[in-house]
Amino acid sequence: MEKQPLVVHGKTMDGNPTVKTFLVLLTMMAASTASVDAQSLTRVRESQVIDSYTAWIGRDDLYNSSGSRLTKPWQIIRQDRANYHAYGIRDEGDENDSFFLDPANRQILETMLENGTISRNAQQMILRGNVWVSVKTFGQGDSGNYLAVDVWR
Amino acid sequence: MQIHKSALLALLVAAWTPSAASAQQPSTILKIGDDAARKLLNAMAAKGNLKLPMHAEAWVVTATVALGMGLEKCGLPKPGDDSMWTPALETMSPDQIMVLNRMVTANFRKAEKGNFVDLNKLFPVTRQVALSLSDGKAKWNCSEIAGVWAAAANYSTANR
Repeated sequence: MEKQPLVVHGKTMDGNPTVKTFLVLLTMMAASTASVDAQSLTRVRESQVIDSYTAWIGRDDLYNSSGSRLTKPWQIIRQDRANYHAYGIRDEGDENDSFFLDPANRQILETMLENGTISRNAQQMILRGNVWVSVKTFGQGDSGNYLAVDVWR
Repeated sequence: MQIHKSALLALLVAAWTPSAASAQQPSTILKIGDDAARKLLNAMAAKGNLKLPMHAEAWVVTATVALGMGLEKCGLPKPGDDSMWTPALETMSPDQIMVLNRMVTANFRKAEKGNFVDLNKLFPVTRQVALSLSDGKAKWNCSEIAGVWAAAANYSTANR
């Protein structure tokens, strides 16, 4: 039997929008948000979810290894993955991922987020910390193209 | 723990209690532990006051699991509308509902291996919902899941 998505609006777990999901989306979401998904519709034809994880952004993720406060969302997301993979600093609930195990992939995280989707509100929440992030990595094979980030306080 | 259908139907007769609404709530439903999650889900099912943010969020987690497993494991027909989320609209915006739904879904899918769900990898609140809607192993309780669907449909009908 074909696997159904848990998500009924937005995208399915493999990143593919469905007619049903967009019907729901249209009824529930503001036009500005819908346009963000419309942009990603083009990209998902080329990319698929190649990895994903959920993590808690705690205090340790807000500072770099020199103790300086990080000021960009991508820096904090990258620090979380560096803490997880390289330094063994893990918050309860942090999930593993394969893509950012590679330091080279952590280096391109800024570009991937610039090309990806994250709301302004989500960016502000990451900067404040003490939030959950859900990160989906889109790409082909082992090559990542962009990220889709959700944040829950 | 079981979220009984009769208790969920109490959503229909929920009473607005300002004093309870203003009480201190944990900051995030995804961070609370198993005990707190169990109590919250019981309270949500029994009182069904979805004007309380944590109750509304608990509903979204419950509905997310019930909807997904209802479709996949119980063969329930796809809802023709967004009634599953209507109860949470008492307190949450559509965007908030969607984000929480996606967070819970992503975590759930990561914990899935075939027909097996590794409960230890779920958010505690999702784990408690999964336990309440299954036998705690690999068998989903389709009667309980259908009860969640019915509660949502009844709520939407009553508040239309």
